[in-house]
Amino acid sequence: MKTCIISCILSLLLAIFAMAGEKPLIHEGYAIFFKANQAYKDGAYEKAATAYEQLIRRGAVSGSIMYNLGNSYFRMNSPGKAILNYERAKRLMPRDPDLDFNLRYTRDRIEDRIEGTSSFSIFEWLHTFTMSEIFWSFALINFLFWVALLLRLWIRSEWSLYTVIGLGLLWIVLGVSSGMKWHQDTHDMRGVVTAPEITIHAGPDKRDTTLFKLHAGAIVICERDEGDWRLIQLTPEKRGWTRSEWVERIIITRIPSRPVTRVTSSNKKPIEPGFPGAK
Amino acid sequence: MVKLILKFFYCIVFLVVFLCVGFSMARADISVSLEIDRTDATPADTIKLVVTVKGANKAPSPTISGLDPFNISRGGTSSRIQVINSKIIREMDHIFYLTPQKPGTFVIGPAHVVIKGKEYRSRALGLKVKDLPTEPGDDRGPLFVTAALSTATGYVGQEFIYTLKFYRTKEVSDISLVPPEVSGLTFRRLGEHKEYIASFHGKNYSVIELRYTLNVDKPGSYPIPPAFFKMNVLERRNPSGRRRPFDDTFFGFSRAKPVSMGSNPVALTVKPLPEEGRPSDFSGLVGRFSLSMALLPQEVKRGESATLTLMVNGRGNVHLIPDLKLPDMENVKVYAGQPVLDIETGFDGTSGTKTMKWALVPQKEGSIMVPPMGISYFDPDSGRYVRSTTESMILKVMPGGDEPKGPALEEKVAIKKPVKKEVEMEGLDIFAIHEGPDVLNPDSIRQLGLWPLGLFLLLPPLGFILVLGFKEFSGKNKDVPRKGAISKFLKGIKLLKNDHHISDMAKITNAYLNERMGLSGGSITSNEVYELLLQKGIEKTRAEELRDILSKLEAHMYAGQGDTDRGAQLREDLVRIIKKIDRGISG
Repeated sequence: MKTCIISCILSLLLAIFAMAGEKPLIHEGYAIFFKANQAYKDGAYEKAATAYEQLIRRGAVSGSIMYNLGNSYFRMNSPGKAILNYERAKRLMPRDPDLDFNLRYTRDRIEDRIEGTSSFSIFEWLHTFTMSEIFWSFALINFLFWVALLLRLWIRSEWSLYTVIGLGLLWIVLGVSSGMKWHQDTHDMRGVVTAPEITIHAGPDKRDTTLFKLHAGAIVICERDEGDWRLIQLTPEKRGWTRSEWVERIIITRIPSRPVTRVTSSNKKPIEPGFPGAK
Repeated sequence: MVKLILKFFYCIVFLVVFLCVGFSMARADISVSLEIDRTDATPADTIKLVVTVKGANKAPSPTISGLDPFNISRGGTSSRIQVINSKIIREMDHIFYLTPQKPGTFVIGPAHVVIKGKEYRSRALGLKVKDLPTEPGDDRGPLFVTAALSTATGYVGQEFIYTLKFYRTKEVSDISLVPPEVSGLTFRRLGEHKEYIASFHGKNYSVIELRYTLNVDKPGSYPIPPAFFKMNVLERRNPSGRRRPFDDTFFGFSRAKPVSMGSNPVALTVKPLPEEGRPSDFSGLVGRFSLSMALLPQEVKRGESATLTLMVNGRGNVHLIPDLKLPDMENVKVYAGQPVLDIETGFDGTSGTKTMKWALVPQKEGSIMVPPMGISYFDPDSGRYVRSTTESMILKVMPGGDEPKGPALEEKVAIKKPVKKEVEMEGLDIFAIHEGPDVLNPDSIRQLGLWPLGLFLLLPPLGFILVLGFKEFSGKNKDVPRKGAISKFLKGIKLLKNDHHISDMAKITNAYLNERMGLSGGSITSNEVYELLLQKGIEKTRAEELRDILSKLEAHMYAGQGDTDRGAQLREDLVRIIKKIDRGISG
């Protein structure tokens, strides 16, 4: 019987590891990473951005690479792409102070003033943790809860009862939180305007009435796509259609397979280390 | 009785609160400050002057020096109460409106207030009144922005003031500023913006004024591009042009038109500090500074301490004011305190005071000369280095009976106090890229995928179910004697080599059934076995089968009936049926 149980568990573990995704690049990844960093330091920001995107395409979807890519776009005077990548990085390292500063700094420099919504949710705190952190916490509590329940079969003392109740409550809270976080992560409808200036139309055609204009870095809600057009919402009163390529979803749906070209207007000089008080 | 006690309790609480408030108000420091709403004006302008008396319960109207060249009208008073660190502080503003009678540079203030016989005074402020422009017809429209520098040419280290003025006669909302960006120039906002009414070419405008201080580290030419004010200009829809109560975008009777207004560009030329005449003790101080020295008391007994206070104050890069050293003095022990630097950033720029203190303990009676002290700085207005010095002072030392003592306790404490300066940002930029080798570690969740993670979470409950099942299963067989009964039976039967030992077979079977069914150990008949097996959930056919075998055994034992040659067949049947029944017995 014991042999049967052990074989069952081992088989399940093997199945899990067999189903686990392909291991990402390690050795050649470092070579690309160091090359990208060197290019960034040498001021070849476009080259650095291309290398970071190459890493992401090869599976190294880490917060720091997204952050570095955001920095490269910032230096390329592309605040839209910078904010897009900072927002993507924020999902993977939500408490990084460097990222917080850079994101705030870049947002301060964008042209459109967009009021933040002040809605309150009891799951707001989930934004300060990554999916991994919440999942592994739940996995730990899940393990402890079932172990405690198992011990309770033999040890029927008062403390074992309270332990099971406490762990059970935590199990429920973390289970619900994991579900909510998963929902938040997979249903993030936000998008960032990456083109310097875009026109929002009343319909998915450029001949439709122009409603308003948005500039690089503005964050909108992407409602749906129709062909090459995307319905976006800035506020419930300000909605409209624009070309999909000008507004990129924060959630990574597909990674561009070619180096992204600069989207800055030619007459704009690169962003100098900023105002007030540049060094 | 209870009501009486409650009333008494409330009275005590009220009294304590009243005393605390009164005590706090009494302890609040009294100060007088003077502010004007601008530093440049024309004779057509009206300047608002506010004298604030802080910390006094009752304050008489202040006396203000330097108001002769102005027509004055009183704007009333206003008072407010603030609670800061549990202290209640009362502030009273005395407001005056000044209209210049002539152009010129005037010093307004200080304002004096006498409270309980003690005089308190504010600082004095400068006001430049320029002549009205004479060129006619220069109408710049309802909205325009001007930019100006305090001086277009200066020196490295000098503080330049960049002033932006936004003139408007139209109603605007959502005003924001896009300041210029210049490499090598550090902009720092000076105080809050000011709003006032000013006359420009004979027309009254509402003006918003902002000031920035510019710090430059390297000489060179710095063209400053225009700064832009962005705003929504409110345009009324009623054709009459007169303002109505509902002329607001909220009610839809006016519309907001986004407008961006740029200032004029300005240029700044920064020269290096001249090498010629540079004093050896020059610390990089640029601006205007003065020194004052005080010695208290000026007459002490031998062994007692006197405090020498040196204050350097001025305008400019005050953070470079050096810590001065007191020259050695014979027969005097000197205890230096930590210098204290107070920096004040106002609308007119940066000013500050550095206070240095020494405790002097003379060891010998007589007259001791405190030597003069000085600092060197560069005066950008005159374009030369200036040395400012104090005068020497005399400390009279009387004979003292005691041994020389150190400085007073509070002075010692003061000496230990560290200098704390406000940390100011000198530049802003994004943080650098992340370079650690661990940054390539991808998110573990994304790496594993959803299904493996789900299975991983299922492992503990699955383990629990398996263990529970195992426990239940083993629980059924936990009675060791019951488990052993079948093996004992089989072993006993196996040992019966002679098939004629049918009576032994019956005994072994009887022992097995007693043990297996938890009976007392007595002899049981085949019918009793049949009944018990049915109670234990054994199938009727099997129970009957065993009953038949046991009947045959009983017949042989007690009556000698039966075919003893068929003992081998009987044994085989008995073993087969007992094995089946053993598996079926529950509990």
